[in-house]
Amino acid sequence: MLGSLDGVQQAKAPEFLYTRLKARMDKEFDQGGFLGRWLTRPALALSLAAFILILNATTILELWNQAPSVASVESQPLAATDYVVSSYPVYEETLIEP
Amino acid sequence: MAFKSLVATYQDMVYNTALGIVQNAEDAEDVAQEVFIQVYRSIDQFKGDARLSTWIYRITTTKALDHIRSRKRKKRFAFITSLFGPNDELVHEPIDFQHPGVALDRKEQAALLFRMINQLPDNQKVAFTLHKTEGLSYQEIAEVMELSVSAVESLLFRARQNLRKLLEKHFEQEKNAS
Repeated sequence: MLGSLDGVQQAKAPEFLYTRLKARMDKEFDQGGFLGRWLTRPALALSLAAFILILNATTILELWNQAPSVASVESQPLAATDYVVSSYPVYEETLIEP
Repeated sequence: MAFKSLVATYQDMVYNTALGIVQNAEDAEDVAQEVFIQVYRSIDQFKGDARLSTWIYRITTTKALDHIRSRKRKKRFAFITSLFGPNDELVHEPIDFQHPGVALDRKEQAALLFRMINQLPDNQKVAFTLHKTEGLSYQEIAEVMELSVSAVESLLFRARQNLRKLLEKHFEQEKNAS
């Protein structure tokens, strides 16, 4: 049984393999274009991903360590006025005195 | 033009090797196309320290194994989505592979052997297929697989042992069933 492949003939490639291969290559190379192929290179894609992750991590760390500045505290009432953020209930304004 | 002549020279070798591993004509052609695209893209990386045929064999075996893995993934997904086709026929039923180069009187035995080869670990499958269907020597297989000759001998020894066990099990099950 193990010898049933002894002397097996080499299978021939299907006809017009080159024509189909050429068509596939033309299609694949046209789709990506030079920029597409260059951008999808694993080394470049991974480097870009790593760069973005580092950038994000640095920004988060910076924000985390940053103490609230005096200017931002002072500007709070101003911002509240700008955006009409009032703390008193709206019913108090409409009270009609006898 | 040079690429066309390269394809013409190696297409049978690539197709036959892929066919032995993936055991399906359509898949083998797909693998062969992928191999030549890879060759076209990375011919500048070919250092010339090995023969061109060895390098192409290496790409072919890698692509063929990748193809099997991707097919298995698709089958697993297909199993979840649907087991049956539109006419209630069982889809993905494994069909015995018939190699076109096998003599007519050995077709049935060879089909069974191919089914068992499919169950071997990847490296044993590659070594056994290269040896049997491409007729490569141990030395040539060692160069393709980047192993020592003794490692290839050991791989082929274990492949034969495993095949014997699988065949014995198969015949035992057949005997019990009848």
